[in-house]
Amino acid sequence: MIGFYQVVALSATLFSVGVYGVLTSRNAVRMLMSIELILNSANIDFVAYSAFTGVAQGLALAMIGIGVAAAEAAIGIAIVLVVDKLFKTIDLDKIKELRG
Amino acid sequence: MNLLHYAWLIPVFPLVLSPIPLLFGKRMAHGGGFVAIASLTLSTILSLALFFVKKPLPYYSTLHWVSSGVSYIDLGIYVDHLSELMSALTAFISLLILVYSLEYMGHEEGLPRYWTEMMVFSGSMMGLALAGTIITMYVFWELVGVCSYLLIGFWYTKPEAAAAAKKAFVVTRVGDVGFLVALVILYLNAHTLSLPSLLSNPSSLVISPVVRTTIALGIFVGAIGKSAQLPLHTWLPDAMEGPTTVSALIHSATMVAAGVYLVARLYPLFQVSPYALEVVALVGALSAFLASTMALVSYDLKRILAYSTMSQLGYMMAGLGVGAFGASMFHLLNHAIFKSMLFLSAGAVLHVLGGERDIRKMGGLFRKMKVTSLAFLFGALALSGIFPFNGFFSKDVIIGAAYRYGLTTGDYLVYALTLVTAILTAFYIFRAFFIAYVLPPKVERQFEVHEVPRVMTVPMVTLMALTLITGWLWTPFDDVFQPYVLYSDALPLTQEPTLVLSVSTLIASLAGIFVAYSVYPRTWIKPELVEKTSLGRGIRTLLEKGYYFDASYNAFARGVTSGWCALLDFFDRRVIDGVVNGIAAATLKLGQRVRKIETGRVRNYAAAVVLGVIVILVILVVG
Repeated sequence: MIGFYQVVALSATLFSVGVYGVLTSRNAVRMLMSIELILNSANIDFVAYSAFTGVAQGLALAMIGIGVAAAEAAIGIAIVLVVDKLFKTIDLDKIKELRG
Repeated sequence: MNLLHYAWLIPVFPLVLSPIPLLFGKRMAHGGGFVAIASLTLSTILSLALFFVKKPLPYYSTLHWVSSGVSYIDLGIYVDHLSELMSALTAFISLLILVYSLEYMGHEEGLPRYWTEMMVFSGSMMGLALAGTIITMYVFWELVGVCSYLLIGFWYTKPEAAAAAKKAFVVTRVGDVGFLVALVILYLNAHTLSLPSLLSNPSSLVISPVVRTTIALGIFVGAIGKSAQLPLHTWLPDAMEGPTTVSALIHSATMVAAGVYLVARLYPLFQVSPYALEVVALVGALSAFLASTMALVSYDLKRILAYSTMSQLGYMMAGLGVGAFGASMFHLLNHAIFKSMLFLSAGAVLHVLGGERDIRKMGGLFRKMKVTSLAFLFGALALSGIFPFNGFFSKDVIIGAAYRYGLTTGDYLVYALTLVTAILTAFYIFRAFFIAYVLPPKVERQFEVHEVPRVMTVPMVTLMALTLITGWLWTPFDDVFQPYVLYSDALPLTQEPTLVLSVSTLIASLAGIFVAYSVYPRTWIKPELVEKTSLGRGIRTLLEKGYYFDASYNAFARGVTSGWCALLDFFDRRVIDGVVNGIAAATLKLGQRVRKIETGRVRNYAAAVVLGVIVILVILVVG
């Protein structure tokens, strides 16, 4: 039986995987995907709390979260494309223009 | 029409017209000299006309110059008999000297510059004489100083002239600091700088006697610098590097007279200041004496005259100090006349001999240059104080007053010094006269000696006539001068010297002339006698070095001032610069360390963000 805690655990697992991906991935696209995971873990949390408490605002916030994630993905991909164009690579460890 | 309302024009004529020679002089005859002469003629006419106009005096008029809240700084004009006399004297003497300059300076390069500077010089002096507030006086005082600098350094390509000009400027500036400080203290205490209120009741304006003495002494320090009194006299002999006409003007009616005039102008302030007049008397008498001794050994004709100026100004200061106010002003008038004449005569000699100033290389001029030599003789007699030349009358009263001062205070030093100086004065001026004019020349002449043209002799003859006239303004029988010049009832009235005093002064002067006569033309006394004793040689060296004033000032500058400068230099370079540079270096080091945090890698930043969030969470949970 899938209950409240299982859903929240899924969300927490997804969040941890996302953070791990952000910290470890050298590929910019992978990092972008990891960020998507973090965003969606938040959405799941919203839906879970909304469903188990019966408050509808959570659903609305989840919808906004999906919209933001879509916009973020579009801009993120655009940024990665420009980075590729400028540096001929999307390996994040090789791009360190701001090194002090 | 009241002529007094136009008195302010007297200094304005030469000042306003002064740029003309400089701007257009190259295209004018004599480099624009006629503009200068015309402007001084206008000033002379106007200031002489003031004498004969019946008028209520004093006349005082001001206009606001700087206003700040409730306090004003005013420019003003103040006419009374003293300022009238001073401006007329300046205008007239300047006019004669300018006429003389037409020939004397005629072939100089930079002649337009000469005219402009002379006009500003005499204009400023007249402005100083007629100034109605002390701040106005100070402005003109500084203008006189800067013009003397420019004129002494007229031949600025000559290193000695440039150095002499600089020296005159710096040394008088030391005195001016005293004047400026006194002026500020005066304004802070009295809240006014206008002459009428300061002259009428100085003791109620400045309550504390100590402050009054401080102010008076500060003003006197300014006067010391300008009038070349001890110990700020060293610029005057060096100033002889300028053209002789400039020397004539500086030594008679302008520059050096300014100091004496300043003390006389503010005399009521000195009267209510304890010890101030005693200091004035002592400094004056000492200057008179020391200057005359230095003149004894000089062979430079112009330097002898320079020392005599310092000495005679010492008489005036001593006269003011002992309370002989009228007599000092009388001597100022007489001295201006005979001293400018002496310089004009010396200038004529220099003109003919191609600038030779050593009296040993002159000699035998009397036959060839009758008028010039007679002018020098008249001047020498007046300077020595021989009856009936004007110097006799004024010097006699001053020495008489010094004797009376001794009677009342028991301090006969001033009298003794002035009397001895009278002997020395007669000796040194006739020494110069005999060697330069009477005795046959000792060296071969390179130039043919001839009398100078009329444009130079006419001013000399005018002054010769005046030396015989002005003395009679104040005789034991008829005293016109003193009641005229005493501008306030509070000023002391000088009494006539007794017959015994007059005769003893006259005998002292005649003795000086007699000694000079027996040493030089007659050689009854051999001057070599001095050289034989070591004491004589020692004194001679001491006098030739001018009592080592210059040497000690130079040593002071080299030792103390340079040492102090080195210390300041060290402090500036090491301490102040060190602190500034140290802070900069430390910041740089810190920056270099801190920048290592910035790796430029996105993942490191992300890790830092996560770490930060965790830390915040821990704090929230634990806290």
